[in-house]
Amino acid sequence: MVAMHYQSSPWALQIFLVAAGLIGGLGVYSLLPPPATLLHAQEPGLIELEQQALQAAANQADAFIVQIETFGGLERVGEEIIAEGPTTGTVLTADGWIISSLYSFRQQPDSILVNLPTGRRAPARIVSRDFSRELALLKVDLQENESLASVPVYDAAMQDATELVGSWVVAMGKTYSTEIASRSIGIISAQGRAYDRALQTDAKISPINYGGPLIDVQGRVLGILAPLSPSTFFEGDSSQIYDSGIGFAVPLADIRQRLSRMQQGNDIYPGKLGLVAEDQNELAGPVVVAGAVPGSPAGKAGVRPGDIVVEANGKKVQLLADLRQAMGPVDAGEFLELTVLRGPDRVDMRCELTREIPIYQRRFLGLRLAAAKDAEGLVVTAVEANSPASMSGLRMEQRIVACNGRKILSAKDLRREIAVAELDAPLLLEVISDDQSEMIPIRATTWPNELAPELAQVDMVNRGEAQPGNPAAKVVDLALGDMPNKGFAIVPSNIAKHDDLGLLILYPQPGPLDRDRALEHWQSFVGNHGWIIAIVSSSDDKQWKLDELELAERVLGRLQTSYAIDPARIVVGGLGVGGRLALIAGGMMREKVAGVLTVGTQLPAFQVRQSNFPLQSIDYLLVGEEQPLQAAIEALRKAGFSALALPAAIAQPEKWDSHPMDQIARWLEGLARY
Amino acid sequence: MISRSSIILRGPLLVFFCVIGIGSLSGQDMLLGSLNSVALEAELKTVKLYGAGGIAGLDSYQSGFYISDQGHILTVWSTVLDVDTLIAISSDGTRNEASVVGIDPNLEIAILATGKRPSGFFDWEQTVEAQAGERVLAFSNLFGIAAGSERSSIQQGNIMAITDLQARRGFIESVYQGKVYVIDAMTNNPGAAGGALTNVDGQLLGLLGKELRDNRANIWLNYAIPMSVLRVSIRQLLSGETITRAVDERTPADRPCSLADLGITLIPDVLSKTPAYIDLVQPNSKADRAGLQSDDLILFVNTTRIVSQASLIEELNYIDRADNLVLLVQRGRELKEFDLSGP
Repeated sequence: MVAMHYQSSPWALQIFLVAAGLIGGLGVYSLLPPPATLLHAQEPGLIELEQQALQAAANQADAFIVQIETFGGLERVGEEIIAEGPTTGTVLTADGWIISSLYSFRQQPDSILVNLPTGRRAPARIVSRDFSRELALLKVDLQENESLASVPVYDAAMQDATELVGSWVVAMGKTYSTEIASRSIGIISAQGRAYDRALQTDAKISPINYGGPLIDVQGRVLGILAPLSPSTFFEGDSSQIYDSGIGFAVPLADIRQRLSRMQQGNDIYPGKLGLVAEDQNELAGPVVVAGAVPGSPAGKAGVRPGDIVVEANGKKVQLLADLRQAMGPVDAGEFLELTVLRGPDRVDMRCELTREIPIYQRRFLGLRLAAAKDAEGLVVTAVEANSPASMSGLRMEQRIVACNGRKILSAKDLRREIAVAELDAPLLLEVISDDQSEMIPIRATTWPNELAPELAQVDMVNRGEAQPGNPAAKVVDLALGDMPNKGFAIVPSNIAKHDDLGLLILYPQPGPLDRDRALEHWQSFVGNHGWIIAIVSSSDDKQWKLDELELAERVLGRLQTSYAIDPARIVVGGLGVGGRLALIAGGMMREKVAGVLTVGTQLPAFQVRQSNFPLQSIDYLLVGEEQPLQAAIEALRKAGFSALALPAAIAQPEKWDSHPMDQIARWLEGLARY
Repeated sequence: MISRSSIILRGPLLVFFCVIGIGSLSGQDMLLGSLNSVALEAELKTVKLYGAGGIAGLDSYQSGFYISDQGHILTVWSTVLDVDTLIAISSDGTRNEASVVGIDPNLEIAILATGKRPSGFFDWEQTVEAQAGERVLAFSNLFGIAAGSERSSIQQGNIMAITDLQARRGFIESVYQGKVYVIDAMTNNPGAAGGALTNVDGQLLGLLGKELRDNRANIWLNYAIPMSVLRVSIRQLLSGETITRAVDERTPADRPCSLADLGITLIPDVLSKTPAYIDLVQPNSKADRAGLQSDDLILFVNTTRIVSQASLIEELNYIDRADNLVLLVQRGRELKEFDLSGP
């Protein structure tokens, strides 16, 4: 009976179904009972109709998509060899304004040609770039009376489709053809991605269609395809996530909004605030302010330590991630309205975000401290000569109990105060010695770019010396969950002798590594200084793979559950090519890592994409032939990081004997200084 | 390094596709819009091929499909076939021995024969052409995930583009340089080569190719060779003809053009990709008479894109002094064409 019902009006039903499919995405049809007659070969099925609709939309779009060819320029950017193939642009206006992906012009070409749909080749120039959304605006000079097909301007109702998730989309690019654009079909997976700057789709997005449009079934351009990976640290690690079901498109409305500014040649940069939260974990909340980078928009707006951020540009802020999400779409030069709780008051501020905030360098006092026994505060265990600490008159065994009027209960409390200290105003330390309290002003300097001196320290835990015949360290296996990699850790035999342990996670050269030799090399350092050396090995004997960057984070998480790890002494290191992974993995974990060490790693064409930031500082030690490392050292220092080249002839990075162990040990131990 | 990681990322996807592909026949195939019956019918025409290899990282398995009622199998020509007898296991579980009947070294295809009647075969003479944007199904034993009598896998995707590998000489390192269907799903994985590409009606469109890297975009290419390209070869091979390797038609000219003859001096070639900027034009030379000037940037020689001085010099090698020679150059913000043909 049901079948008969459908037989009586198959067309009406089909039309309804198609409409439902088009409007609501495809989830609809599977809810319906099986209408057998619709499978007849003579009548097009839903799949065909759906395909026809998408095809018709794509055919219209072919006209305003152009192929772009570049000539000359760099052969590689970072580690990546630039492909020579043509790329894609989308024509925004009939008079020759074309939007494309910055990715297409990374090599800084000498010449750019646009293959117009009319068959003519026209030279183009980049007028401006949007570094927040990875876009480039191009202009081609048209001939008299020439006009280009362009992205239609939609009326407000069509423009304003707020709910797109689940809609069918086609991603289009002209790498393969000057006439018919490639079509990759998928759905909108999410909106407001990449800190509220992009649509996410599961259509296949790659260099084949970067710069092309993402259109919907009505032919509407929803956005422009661009490789917006969530975060990048070093040039060349843009996390190549294409082919993995995640692609991004910058909403067309966001581009239009900035078009006139860009047409006038103004580049667009992501806005920076310079606010330092007490907890740098994205999922930490509430967002308590530790301070502001001196001279930054947050500093100028008057953000104070202890403020709690509750709102940003009208959006509620509960976690640090909420603040980042609110800041994502705000360009440099635009305003961020910030509401904070200061004690019982709500305080509103207006911060003009800037392209750059003053480069931050880690602050330095020249002190070594340890937790006080049976008392609150931190005890001075050593004072470096000619340091701010020695000049202030601080002495060994004094106890610091407060800083700038705030109590110091843990190392974290004091590090927070020091991190945002002004260079021209002293910190005021409250110090207790022999039951006498005194206030000592101390003016921080920037972190020195030299090895920490070896100092006699007050031994707070009475570690003594390792007993002969009693090995100072042992090897334990590392379980890495579902990752195929193997790993082991060298840990002190007698954990009880140590405070929190330092942790060095090492990426060696690919291939097998001798555990006994590693143990022999590290055991005295591990036993004497209280460190864990965790060494992972590549799953492939010949090479490291990109997804093995995750190993460091895994190992850290794993060891933190079994040992008390000192957050100020967490280091990611690498030997030979493993050093490149260490650099990237360290950058990805920057709120957790204190140092990055490379031994015998070559770093050609090294570029740094992020700058140093309070409480996220990383110290770099690059061991190897000094001259070739200079460029990397300079790039790191320019971005505000402390970076040191340690000259050593490292012919084979996996040979421990060739490592300048004494100096590496001094650097490792120096990381926890204040 | 980058593209290898993309293969690794593909890993988890395949399980998902297999589950979709092989549903049960009961009831669901009547569901509006389902590809179930089409998929199952076409699936029975495919085979899993096992042969040589398995050392030095080479695969010892690939895919293929029946193209005749006498048990002829079409597949790609690869090292897997370097054995006297291959094992061909159909999706219905039938296990046959197969041997190579003939190969086309230019298209890199091979025809095998089992001598046994298969339960189904594709009509290779049917002339169906795909369009860009069309939905397609790919049938293969990707990653060798199906073992023994298990059915091979079905993936769905769309024809992303129809393009000519030859159109951009040198971008793709492959013997075959002709037309391909580029697919927007990850169809060209280890073991998938030799599989079938069909439309949603189950009609044969093409043969899944070997893994190829697209140097144009630095990504791996998912593609199939259209049946229209293969048909002549298949007919020849089935009738027992031998096809020999054709030499590259393009040979250097007898009297090649040179920059010196044209009267052009380029700027010093200091980079690996120094652009072809003209430094000096010899007075009264061919270039001078045609109107070329210093600082002109040469972008095209006839229809060939010039990415560097080296590619300009190489391209001129193929052009005889008597041939047509048209240069497209950029001068400031203008494009200009100059004809340097003839003596």
